[in-house]
Amino acid sequence: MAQKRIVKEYSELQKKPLDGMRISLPSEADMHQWQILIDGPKGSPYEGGVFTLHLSLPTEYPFKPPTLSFKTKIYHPNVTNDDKGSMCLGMLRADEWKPSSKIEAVLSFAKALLLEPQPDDAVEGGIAREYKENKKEFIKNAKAWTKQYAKK
Amino acid sequence: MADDLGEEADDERALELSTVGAIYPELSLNASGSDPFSACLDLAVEPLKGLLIQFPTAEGAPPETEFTPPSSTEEGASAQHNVEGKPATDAFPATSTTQDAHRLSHLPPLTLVLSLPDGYPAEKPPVFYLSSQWLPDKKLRELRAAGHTIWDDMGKDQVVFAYIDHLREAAERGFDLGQGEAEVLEVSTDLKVALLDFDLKAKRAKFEKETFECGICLEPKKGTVCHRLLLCSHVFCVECLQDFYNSCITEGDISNVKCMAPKCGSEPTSSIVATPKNPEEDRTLEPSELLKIPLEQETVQRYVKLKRKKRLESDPTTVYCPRQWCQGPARIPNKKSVKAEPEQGAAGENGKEPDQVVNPDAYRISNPEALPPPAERLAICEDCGFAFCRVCKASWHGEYFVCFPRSQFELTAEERASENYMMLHTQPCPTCNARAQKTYGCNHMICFRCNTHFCYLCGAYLERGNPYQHYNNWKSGCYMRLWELERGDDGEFGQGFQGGGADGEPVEWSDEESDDEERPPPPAPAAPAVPRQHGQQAPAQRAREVNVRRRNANPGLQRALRMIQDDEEDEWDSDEMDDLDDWE
Repeated sequence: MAQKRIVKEYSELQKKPLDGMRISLPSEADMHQWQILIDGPKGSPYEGGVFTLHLSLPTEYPFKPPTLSFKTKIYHPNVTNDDKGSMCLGMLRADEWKPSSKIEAVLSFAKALLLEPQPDDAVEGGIAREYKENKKEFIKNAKAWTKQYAKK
Repeated sequence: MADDLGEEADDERALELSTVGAIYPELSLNASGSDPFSACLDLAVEPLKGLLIQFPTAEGAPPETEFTPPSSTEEGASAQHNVEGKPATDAFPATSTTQDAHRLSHLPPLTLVLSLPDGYPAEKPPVFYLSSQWLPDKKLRELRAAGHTIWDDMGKDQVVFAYIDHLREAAERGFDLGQGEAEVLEVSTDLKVALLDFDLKAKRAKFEKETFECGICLEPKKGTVCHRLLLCSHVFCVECLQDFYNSCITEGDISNVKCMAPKCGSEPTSSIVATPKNPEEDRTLEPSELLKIPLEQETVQRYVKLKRKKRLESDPTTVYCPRQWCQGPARIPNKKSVKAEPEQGAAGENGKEPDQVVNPDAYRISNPEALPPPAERLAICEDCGFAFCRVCKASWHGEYFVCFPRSQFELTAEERASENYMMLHTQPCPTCNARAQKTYGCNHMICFRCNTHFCYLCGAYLERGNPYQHYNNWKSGCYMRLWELERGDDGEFGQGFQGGGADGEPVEWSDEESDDEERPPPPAPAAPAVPRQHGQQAPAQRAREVNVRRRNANPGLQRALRMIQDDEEDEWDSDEMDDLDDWE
């Protein structure tokens, strides 16, 4: 069941790609690992950058939530500032995940997060505080990181 | 159509009937056989807004009896033409407050029999008869009279279609019955089962004809293989429901046996009048609905069992039967005395042992000072009826005997190993003590039972609004350790780190604290002082830790731990307690 649904979601997203996103499979043999390229949304400090994300679908998908992580370093309160680039919030949390949520919604959620970080639910407290208290500095840093790590 | 009418085909009346028959194919002509210009039609009654119907309960009758199926079909039939309807409602005006109301959208049909006499339409009016299982006589007379009026209004012309149309429209409006708040249509209780059954079957038939896209497998599925959830009306295919609920129940994750649609539960329930449930409280499915999906009976039995177990576990007064073949629960029936106990114990303890400040709730039973007075130690197993002492777990010794919990030495090696493992590789929820073992992900945990947010590493409460503060405060023992053990607490290392507080005391980190003494965080995410490789620690230290942490054990564990209070005399035969860890 999982496989069938994943194939279906994948082909739907290939047919009707989300704006500013490209999805591919790092290995054709494994439908459970997706690679996603997201363009930094216009109007955000990530504009001009391309971010690589990794989406991992557990074997129990859709009964268990997928995990999403940034492979490109990003200056963002909701993404860990380490080599894992982990995210842990909202619909991706095991207790909030609902089996009929779709990957499309997960990806839209990630994109919305780039436009509007959620500092109250941050994994990087320092960045969250900066975002709340010194937005200018935050934008400057985020832009610098985008330039350094996420260049096209 | 014209063939049916034979030589009368050129009669105006025959033409009218055949035309109407073309529009309403279910119109049966010449029903009686003697009158060629008669017809019969069952009009479906499907009010757009549904029709609110009250079934007055007989005085003193317990509500359960209402749900008994009709003893015979004749009983339903005898109630036709609703002669009983009115007397029944008049008979119990006083009980109107206890009546149950149902909004039905499909009702048994209204039967129209019509006959067109000679001279119709110009001189004679058509003859209409109406009958219904449930409509009040008054309404039937009213509807019948309308036929004559319409014929008059139309200038004594062909009226059959117009009249049927009039009835159809009236049916759609629910015959204007029960519109106002105060005014509700009352129908005899005798008809209740028949009406509800009709509504249900009609809905089911309609449902089965529809096609749904299952939100899980994303396939379009026929209604016949789908199920509409009773609480929220979301539809999923039976296969996916079975897959998901079976896996939830197998894994013991019963709190997820609810609707799978995103955001479901935040909107109010759409179902009919009588839903006593608080939408926020419990949205898990009823066992009866699981059977209807259908799930295997054994699975549903396990679900019921797990639900009960969860209820028992969240009751801190539950102790378990010491008979190892039983292990049934025993609770204190009188909740009052229990509620007072933990508070008392906690207050007393804080003064006496200031170095052991832990969550006061954890004290409940495991602390000897907080043990219930001997007179209140009697526990009776709900399963096997065994009367035993909730403290020493021996069979009941009377209230004048002072006993003590069993000592640690009585535990078997297996039990001890199992406890040690739990100490090292699980974290109890700071609110309800339910133990959690992390399988993957970050250290921000949400209790599966009570939804408390806590830190997996040190067990500290985390603020719901900003749980990650704890990991970003350099003073916190868990600074920069959100993702430690990301692959799960697999047993290589013990997680039992004590959050940096003195002697295992979980520390709560508030915003103010960090704001007051703002300092630049240390450059590297180096873990502070306490090493985490508890697997390599000296046994003595581990034992101390067990000692400190056992107060956090969950009720099942507490039961075992109550028995390892050292230095207590006891007269218990340890053999009887073998396989204690089977409670899992």
